[in-house]
Amino acid sequence: MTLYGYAGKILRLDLTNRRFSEVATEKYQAWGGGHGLGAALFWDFCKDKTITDGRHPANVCILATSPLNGTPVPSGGGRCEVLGVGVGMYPVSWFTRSGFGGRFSTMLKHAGWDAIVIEGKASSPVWVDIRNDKVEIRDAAALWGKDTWETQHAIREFMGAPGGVDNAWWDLNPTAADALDPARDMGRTTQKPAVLTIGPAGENQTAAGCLLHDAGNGAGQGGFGAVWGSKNLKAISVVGTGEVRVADPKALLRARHVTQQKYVTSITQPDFASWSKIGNVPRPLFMNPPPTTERRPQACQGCISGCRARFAVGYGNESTCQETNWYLPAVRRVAKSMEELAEINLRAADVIQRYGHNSFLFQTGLHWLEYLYEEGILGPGKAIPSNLPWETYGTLEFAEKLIHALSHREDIGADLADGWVQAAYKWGRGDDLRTGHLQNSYWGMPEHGYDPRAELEWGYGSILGDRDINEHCFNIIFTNVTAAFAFAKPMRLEARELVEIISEKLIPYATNRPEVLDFADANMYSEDVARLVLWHRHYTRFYKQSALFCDLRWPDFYNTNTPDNRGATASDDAGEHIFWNAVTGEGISFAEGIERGRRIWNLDNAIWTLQGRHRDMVHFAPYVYETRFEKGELFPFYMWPCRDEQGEWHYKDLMGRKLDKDKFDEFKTIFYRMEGWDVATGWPTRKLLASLDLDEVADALEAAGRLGVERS
Amino acid sequence: MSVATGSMDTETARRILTQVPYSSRFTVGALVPPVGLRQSNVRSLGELELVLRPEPASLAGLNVDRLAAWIETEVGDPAGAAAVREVARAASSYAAACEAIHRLIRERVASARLLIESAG
Repeated sequence: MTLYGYAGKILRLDLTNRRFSEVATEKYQAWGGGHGLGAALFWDFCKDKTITDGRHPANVCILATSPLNGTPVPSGGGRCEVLGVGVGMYPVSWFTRSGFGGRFSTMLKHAGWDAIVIEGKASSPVWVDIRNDKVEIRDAAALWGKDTWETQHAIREFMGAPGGVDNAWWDLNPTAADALDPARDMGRTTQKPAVLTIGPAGENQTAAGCLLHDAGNGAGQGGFGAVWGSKNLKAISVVGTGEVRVADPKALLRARHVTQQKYVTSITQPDFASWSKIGNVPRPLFMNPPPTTERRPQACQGCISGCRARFAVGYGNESTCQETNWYLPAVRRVAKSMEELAEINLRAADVIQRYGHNSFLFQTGLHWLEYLYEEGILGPGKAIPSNLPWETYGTLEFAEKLIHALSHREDIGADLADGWVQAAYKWGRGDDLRTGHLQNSYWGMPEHGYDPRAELEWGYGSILGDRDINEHCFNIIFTNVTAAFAFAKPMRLEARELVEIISEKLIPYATNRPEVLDFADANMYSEDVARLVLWHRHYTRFYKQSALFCDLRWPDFYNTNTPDNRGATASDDAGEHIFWNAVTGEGISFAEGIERGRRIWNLDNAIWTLQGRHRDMVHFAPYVYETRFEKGELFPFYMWPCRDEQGEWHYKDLMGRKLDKDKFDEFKTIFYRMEGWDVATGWPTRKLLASLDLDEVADALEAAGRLGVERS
Repeated sequence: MSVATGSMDTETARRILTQVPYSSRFTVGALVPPVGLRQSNVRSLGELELVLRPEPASLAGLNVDRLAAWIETEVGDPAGAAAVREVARAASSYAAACEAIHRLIRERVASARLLIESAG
């Protein structure tokens, strides 16, 4: 039977014995791809699901593609999902996820594989060489110690692939005889191998270790670089010459054409009020001035956005978002001009990419380190000893020394390597999580730019899950509305109209229930908001993390390019399920995709339960309850649609409030009840799992004494 | 005399170009979709100028009243603080105020540099 969209097989790597085997994808087809596929593989192949440190040899790391990878689905073909037990979270490193873009997942599909399951631990460093069906586990002694860019160059050189931007044909077979294999178009290609690798941060098993691909596509959260380092796995290279079979190419191209004609803003007319629309790219997602206007857009394979850039100056290439910001506050201390600021900042982005170090840890962490130094707590001979040249803070030299130390477990890096919150407690700085000097709000991870006291779906979703969700589905409301207020422009949509349009698409749990978007004080712990969080968790688990629609482009709730302001999400002409069906031939409804997400989310919760989760652990860092989201400090207002006492909708400022710990606890009970979890423990019940065709999971929980109880 | 150079002597110019102690830093933010609100802080008007420089896809975040108070008491530039209040009051929107304050601070820092250079 043809599995449209799928390559048909999964690569299982046994690093301990340096062997590989194949698993048929068909058994896992019901899980979709990406996260669903990966979670199911983790369940089947991880033999000890109680482990809470990703560096444990029993951990299994999975790279999973989607049926959409390698197809022209707009902003839906270039992502890759990474799963396994993480490193450096607090108090427990959960089974978690990360993801990255670029070319890797599509190349893996072209080589004939839907996923890679990485098990065991090699006795010495290895890298994996995948060329279509041929898989070699090679010695990586010569690569160990190299940074992420050097490693990729070395692998390409080893393979004889052309470097730079040459478009020469090359033979990806190691021998002339292999090259005569007629099944694979003679094994010739113009494409460079796609390499995913770790740098020094991962080799030294620090929680900051990333997986990095090409110049700047990184899987940062979760510490998967440390997972690979613990397995002595330096890199995986893949090159393929196969194809991805699409069930209904005509339907796929029709939906893509509709997207272009109906939903996309002109790329030449940036629009402040439509940042998140499909195809609208005001400029590369830089958080600081680019070094030059001489640049080319760069996109993940198949993407219509091109949110990254390559610059004529030759630095800062492919970095975007947080990588381009991690050092910016420090650079301002020394920069004398915007030009100097841009250069130091982007060269610092290159540094962190080369070391394979997670930049996101500095979102809150850099301010904390500066605070400790300036307050005389950290430094030479201080309570927290550090011999780094803190007096040069802000220079490129300091950035290099800091990242080197943290990547090699030197200086303060020795303590930060196991997690920043862990280091805070080790240094006797636990109170910094109470005052907010260290704002790592959920599971030891840094607070994103969406405060959990205001952006409820983000905060609640993160603490009810496994990590900072990093899902931008709803915060376009905050950014667009707040921007309109900042410019004193009339809103294109009044509050009531906006929430009504969005709620039309919250199928099936909150369809036409706009009250779920009411984040006013009176509604912030309500069943309404629980319903929104429920939809969000299930939507993202399937459509974003399994089908792998890009987070920065989907969902498209409201879209001011269309006459009725309705976006593409859940639509019958270019909705997520339309693309899914065109590629796979399945014929699911939008709601059936959400139901798949529910099943995946519940498998995740079963794994967290086996790892030791209990509802009493599910709480934010103390500062979220004990300090206010101070009004006017970071921005004058945080606007969001809310109802007043008469039930009328208005845009309201959410700043100035904190979360009530007891009321959040009550909110958890509402949420657990909606999910069908045991409200006393948060554990899934047999009834729930059986309804999801997960009886085997219920058996495992029961055997572990962690099956939830039905309560009236 | 422009508002940027008004009431500026060499002592004020020196203060404008000096970094205040860390404990006197001024917290600022930025609205940067899709990342959200980004926290930062500044210790001099030179840093503030870099923060406020208009960008097409982000917007500086600050409390204008607190900023004026900081310039007055921590930086030690009462005339600059008064000018900030004045241009902010005249602006048609928060974003317009940020742009006006940026122009003012840029000119004030440039004037301070010129004054110090000319004073040897």
